[in-house]
Amino acid sequence: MSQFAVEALFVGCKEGLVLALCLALITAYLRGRGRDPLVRTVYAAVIAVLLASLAVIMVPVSVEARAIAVKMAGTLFGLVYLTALAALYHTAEPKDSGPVAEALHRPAVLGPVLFLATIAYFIPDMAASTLYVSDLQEMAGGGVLVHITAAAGFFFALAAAYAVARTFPLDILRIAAFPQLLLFLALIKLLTGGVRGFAEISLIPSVQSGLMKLVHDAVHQLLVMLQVPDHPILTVSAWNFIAVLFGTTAGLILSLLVFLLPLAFFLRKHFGSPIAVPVGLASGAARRAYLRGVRDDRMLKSLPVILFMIVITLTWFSQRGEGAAQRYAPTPVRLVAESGSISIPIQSPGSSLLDGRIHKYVVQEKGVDIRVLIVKKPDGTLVAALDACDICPPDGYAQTTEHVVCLYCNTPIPVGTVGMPGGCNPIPVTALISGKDVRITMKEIAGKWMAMMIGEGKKGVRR
Amino acid sequence: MSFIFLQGVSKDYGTAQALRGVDCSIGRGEWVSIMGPSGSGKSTLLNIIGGLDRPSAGTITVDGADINAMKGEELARFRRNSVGFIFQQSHLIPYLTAAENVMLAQYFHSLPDRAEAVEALAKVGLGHRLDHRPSQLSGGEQQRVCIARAMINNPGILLADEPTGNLDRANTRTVLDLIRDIHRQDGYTIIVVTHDPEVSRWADRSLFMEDGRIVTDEPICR
Amino acid sequence: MKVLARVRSFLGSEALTVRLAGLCIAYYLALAIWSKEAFGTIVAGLTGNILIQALYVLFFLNVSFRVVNRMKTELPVRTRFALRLPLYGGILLFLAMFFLSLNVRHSKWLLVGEGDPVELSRDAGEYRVGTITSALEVRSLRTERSAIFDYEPALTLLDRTGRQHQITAFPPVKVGPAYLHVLNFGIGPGIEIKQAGNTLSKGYMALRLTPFGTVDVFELPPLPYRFSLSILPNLVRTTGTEVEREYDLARPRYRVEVERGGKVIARGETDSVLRFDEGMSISFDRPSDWVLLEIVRDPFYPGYVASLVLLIGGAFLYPFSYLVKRRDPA
Repeated sequence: MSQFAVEALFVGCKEGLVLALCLALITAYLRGRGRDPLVRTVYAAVIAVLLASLAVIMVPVSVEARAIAVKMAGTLFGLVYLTALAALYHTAEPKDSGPVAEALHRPAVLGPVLFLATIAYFIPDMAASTLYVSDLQEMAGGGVLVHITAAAGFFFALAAAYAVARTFPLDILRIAAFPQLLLFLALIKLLTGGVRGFAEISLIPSVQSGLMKLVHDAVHQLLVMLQVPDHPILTVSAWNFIAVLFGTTAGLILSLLVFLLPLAFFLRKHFGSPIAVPVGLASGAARRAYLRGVRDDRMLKSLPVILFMIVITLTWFSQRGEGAAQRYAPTPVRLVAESGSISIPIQSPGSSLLDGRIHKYVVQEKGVDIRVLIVKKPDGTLVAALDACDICPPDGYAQTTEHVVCLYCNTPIPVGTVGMPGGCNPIPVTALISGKDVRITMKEIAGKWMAMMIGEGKKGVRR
Repeated sequence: MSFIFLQGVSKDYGTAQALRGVDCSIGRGEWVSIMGPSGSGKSTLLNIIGGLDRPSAGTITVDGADINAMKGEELARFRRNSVGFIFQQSHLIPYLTAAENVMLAQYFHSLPDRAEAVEALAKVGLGHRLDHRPSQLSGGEQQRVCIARAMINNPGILLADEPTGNLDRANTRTVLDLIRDIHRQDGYTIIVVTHDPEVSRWADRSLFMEDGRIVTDEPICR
Repeated sequence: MKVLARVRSFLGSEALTVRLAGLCIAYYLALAIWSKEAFGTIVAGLTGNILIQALYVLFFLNVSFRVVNRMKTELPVRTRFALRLPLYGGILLFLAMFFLSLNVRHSKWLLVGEGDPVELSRDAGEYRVGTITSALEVRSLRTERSAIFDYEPALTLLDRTGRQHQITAFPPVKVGPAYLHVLNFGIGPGIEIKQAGNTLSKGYMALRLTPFGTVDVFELPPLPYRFSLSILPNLVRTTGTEVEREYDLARPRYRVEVERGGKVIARGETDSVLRFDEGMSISFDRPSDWVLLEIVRDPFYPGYVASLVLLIGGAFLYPFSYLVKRRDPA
């Protein structure tokens, strides 16, 4: 089976498992609350999602629509997480439910809201995964094998999950009220929300880089207002001090704290808020029994929250920054120059330059290995550059979801800007790109590589 | 309807029969004493009523609940919530203070609450001995701590097995006064096993056992 | 009075804090996903969007009320109060100073060379750049162990009376109504473009050529050329595994690339002249030093700095307050 079919199988299994797990949680909760008719509403919504995903295979989808589908995945996670936080806050604050909550409890309102919410929750990932499977099919050269393996993985995962659910029925209400259910759903979305198969299993790297950018921007704003100069002219000691704040580890820790802080506030409030003992139980053993019951319930209801915090903390550093494990750094393919140039076919068995991944090649000139990389930018054009930049030692680049990352200084460069010169960008090279191949002259790449090697800035402070 | 009802309760230990077909009913708020010679089955009967032991045959219901049908956690819950025990040997934890011994009973029931424990000890006249360990208390004081411990979870039933067996006359009087206050003020159902007729006379009713059977069952006239 | 009490209760409520924070998070999230530049948009909103400014002021009032209410409960235990006051005070001061500073601050960047005039404000009088110390030695030997970031530029600013102010990179120096500091510095090559011997353009280009090896580009409209420039070592010496590069900034060696219409038409290494195209040449004279000066007028700057000091010090002291026993209310 080709690598594309294997990846399609993986994508299908993942979506099937996610669907099964979420459905199990939602339906167990609804049944526990005595809202069995709403279970049918949820199933109807899931069927609508599956039909919509199939439609995506048939109907051509523009690049912009794809980008929107990917962004929706992140937006949905954010919405579910924020709603979970809001619901957690309200359960920690002993209050009457407001007019919104009361309106939502009416069946005429709750049914349609649940239907739409279920569709909104599942459709971005399903649609994006379906689009990705179609891309895999295109890369595999057409045929139906890829779609069939994806569907097989999907239904196999559903069947396996159903068998497990029948064997181990879920009493979710012991540990989950509505906020905790939302938190479970947010956690599932975070851990499985990536839309590009093996290249992007979870949303954690995107969330991390977003939060680290927030930390970076906030610190930068503070320093700018302090009138700190541009970094190239600071002394080493001053730079090292500030570099700690901008460094990966500090950024990871701070971004994790930012992410988990609302949950920590909830826990503090949840355990610390006074318990209103009913008047009839003013004293004695009955009062203590009541208090114990409330505290046990609080402990159980906090377990999903604590579990969320533990899982995120454990996975945060294993997928650090945009993930050492998530970085794609292919081994360069050795080429031999012919008639003073190298030629790389756009499509070849088992690989395509149009797959959105970086492709590296190495060619020798006068005993020196020169590395080149080619990548398809988000706008669909191919670009060629040296696998090195003006400033850093030529350790080369790796790829994450939206960036190429300098392996020396860990600077992420958006894939869309590859081809622009300067800074940590890979040095652009002029290439002749036809429908068949990419052709680069040795004079072009050898000249630029040698010039890069002579530049002094490379042997900088090694971290 | 009886609060505690026993029908045909028997208990065998191998070939020895500790109880033989005991029938008995005790009303809510009654104080019953059980007397009899050694080996007559008094303590066995008390243990069965309190859920500490199971009958070999027969049924026993307490407040409508069949004790014999309860298992594991349910039986433990019954013991925790419905029954307070006082034994001849006080069985206080030697390294805990008086207050801590009472709070231990609270802990196993639900939550410890020192203020409530202090109040309970003050009620039994030990408000000034809260932080004393059992070795620093007299026999009577230890037994009063046991009473506070037995009552702290408002069980409704007090079972006492020779509560004054190790005490002198003065302390016996003090302990019995306390039990009488509990009976009158809080309406507890009390069953006291004793070999002392003086102690038995404090009860509303006296059962006399011999050879695992209730031989006589008479009200106490005062 | 009832209305006042209700307003105070609303302003001091935790629910308001949570709702405002939630609103901010939701807004940031939407911006971050759908428009990429979230933080900058919010900061720009704090200076230009009346709704965002109003919400910020509401947030500030809310935090102030809550802090004051909290400190009232802490007051009986003096030690605890004293340990917590810096952090709480720092939070309030920071929120106020940050907002005021953002809205009131007026800053400009000025690229200056020796002798250039500097205007701090309309009524501040005239200032002039005296000497520039670029901290780049004229002749320097740089090895693997030389750090990138070890430059400390400085300039002297002269006022009308001849009084000198020494301006460095950090901290900023108060001169008249403004704070000044060196934001960046560099070497400005003296460049002359000639065609068939006739000078078309001559002057100093303020380029970012440090750290050495950095490439900068410039154009000289209406000429159709794009020039890329970087500084090369005058001499490279390899001793065993160590590479030494010697730079002579009195007469630097440049790597030059000339593009026209997107195509490279000439490339070379020179310390004097490079010829390209038909009769065109680019020649280099002794470079001068330039400094990018940041001039900031902000009356709240000292308050801002003080708030950061209070925040950091307060955060350090705060945990010790938990060691102080809370007195139970009588």
